[in-house]
Amino acid sequence: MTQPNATDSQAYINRVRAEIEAEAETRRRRDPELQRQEREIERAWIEVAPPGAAGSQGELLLDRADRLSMIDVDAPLGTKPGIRQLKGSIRKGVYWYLRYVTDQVNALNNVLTRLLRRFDERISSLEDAAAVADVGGLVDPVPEPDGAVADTVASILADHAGRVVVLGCGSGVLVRPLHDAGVAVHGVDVDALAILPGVRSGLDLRAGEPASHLAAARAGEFGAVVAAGFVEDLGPAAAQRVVEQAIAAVGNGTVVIATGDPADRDVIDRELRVGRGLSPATWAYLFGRTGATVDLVETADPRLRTLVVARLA
Amino acid sequence: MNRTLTFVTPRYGADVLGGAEQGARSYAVRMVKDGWTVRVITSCALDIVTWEDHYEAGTTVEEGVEVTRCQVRQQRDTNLDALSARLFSGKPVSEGDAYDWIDRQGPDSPDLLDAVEAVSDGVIAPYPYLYQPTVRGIQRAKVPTCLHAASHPEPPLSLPVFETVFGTADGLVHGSRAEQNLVLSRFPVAAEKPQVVLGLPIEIDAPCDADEARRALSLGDEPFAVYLGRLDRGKGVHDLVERFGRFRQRRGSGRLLLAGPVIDRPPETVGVEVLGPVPAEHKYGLLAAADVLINPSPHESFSMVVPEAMLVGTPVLINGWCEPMREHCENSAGGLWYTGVADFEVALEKLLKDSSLRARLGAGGSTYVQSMFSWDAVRTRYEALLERLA
Repeated sequence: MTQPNATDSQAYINRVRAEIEAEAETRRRRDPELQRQEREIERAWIEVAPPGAAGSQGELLLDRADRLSMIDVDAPLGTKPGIRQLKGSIRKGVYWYLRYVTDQVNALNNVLTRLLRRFDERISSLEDAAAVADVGGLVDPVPEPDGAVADTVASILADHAGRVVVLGCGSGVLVRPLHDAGVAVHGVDVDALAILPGVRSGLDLRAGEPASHLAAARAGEFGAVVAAGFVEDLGPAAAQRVVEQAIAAVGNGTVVIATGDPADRDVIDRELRVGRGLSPATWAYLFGRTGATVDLVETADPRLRTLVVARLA
Repeated sequence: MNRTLTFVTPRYGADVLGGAEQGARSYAVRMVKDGWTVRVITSCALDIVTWEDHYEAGTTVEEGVEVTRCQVRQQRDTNLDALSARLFSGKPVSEGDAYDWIDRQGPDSPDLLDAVEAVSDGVIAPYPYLYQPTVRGIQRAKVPTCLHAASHPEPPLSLPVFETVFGTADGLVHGSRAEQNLVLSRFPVAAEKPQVVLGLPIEIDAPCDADEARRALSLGDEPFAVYLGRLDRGKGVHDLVERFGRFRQRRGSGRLLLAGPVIDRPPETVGVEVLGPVPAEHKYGLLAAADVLINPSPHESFSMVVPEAMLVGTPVLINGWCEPMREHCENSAGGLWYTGVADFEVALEKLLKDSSLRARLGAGGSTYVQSMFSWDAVRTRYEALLERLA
């Protein structure tokens, strides 16, 4: 049997999950008892699962908030004959009162969860408008630079004092020549799997969020910052933050931005990455405004044709 | 590079059950075989609830690992639950109260902390983050430290002592990307440190004979789903039993086996059988014999049993609220997850009746675990990190 490839497997699992969700929703609608059980078990689960257990699964949380916001006055009666009758009498006796109270609580909960959803929708709209929402599953990752870019970066930074950090290092293409030239260099990339080949070959590559790594750097900590890959998914405001933080992190050092030009993107990439990524010229403008000496250095890579080199000294 | 590594862990031994402790041992014995000098500094305890001294204090060599066990000064405070309820009520907690909670939780062992301070070479690897040996030990260490936090979203992670713990560590090992995200969001200072998403080595190190396991454990020929781990409410076992009971009631058939030490016995439920602890030689056979492994735990930083089941080709059904386990399923396409009752039932039904689905998931899971968690793959990543720290 031929082994299915990773993409096939993901598509397959997504299809199975979609079938399960659809069938589960049908069952919930068809069976009020199942709905009640689901609420009971979810309440029990919430007791053992602390806040934060859902991590980043915000949509799931909203879904649960929706379902749990309706308080049910029909308490289960159990199955033991005597107890069942007793519970039934109590339930009947207090039903009018509980109903009166829960109607008000339910109305309030309903408004609150609608409000939460509305906020969520508004935040999503803002994210869409600012092009910061996650479309990672739709677009291809930014390709790594080729060896020619790496050699150019290495020649720019060959005699540089201080440690070099390569943000968005991927497998370490930009790190390798610097490392081989004896420069103290490490790379950071959010993709822990992507860095594996480089780590295996002895490079100092760290899994982490490049922007956070830069933000956490001490003033003057690095001799040079090289930013690649992730910068092509930044909007103008985030790019400006990178400029400011990179300048602070290098003191009198150098910042190199390796980015493709959004104008060169194909139609799909252009539309899905709308609002993300700045041209080398715009990066140069942002650094130039800070008083840095900016050079645009040509490379032989057809995608990363121009490197932005900002010298702060 | 100095190839010496000292694990610091609350308990240690072949008969100690617990993800972190098994994780430490799993690294220790493998690294010794690869030529590393490996030490372990631990307490004499076996029982995680009382920390009562069980092993002799002193140094022994076990499977090539030099193990130093230290006496516990006082057992776990019996009022810890009340203290926890007060501390984790959402109000601000002082650093003093937080250290007090750590000490009362135990294992409280000044000898152990002295032993950590006395280490003068290599790298110290505290494992996991939650206990006194790590919290106080990491601050007394005289050599670089590599913290295997094994953290997950739980109330103690918010205690103010852990900024110091994660800030002091020289390097970090994460069980999963989800754990790394949790750590970086809770402790931004950690972003600067050398770190790696490592997981644990997952290899079949005992017989894997489904037929033999069926015979030895008297499982019969009927298909079954299995849970393998501590039978404990905190692991979601009671929740699973309740879900499964309702599933079986609605479906009219189905069998769930609960294998592992019984900490908190779940209620008697039709279709659910408590096997209790399973001998190591039948663990993989049991997993291979099962149609599906279910892990209902909401708190896992890695979950060894999920990739173990995947490795023997058994699909998994996991609690989708637990991000590291969900990560395994999403990365491997080797399992399904649930977040409610209805989707639990639909997913389990599919897994039990659709053999082609099981085969497809089984193949995906097995490939994933072999490529990500073979010792060779894990060691390469781990040694690269240790080299940076040493």
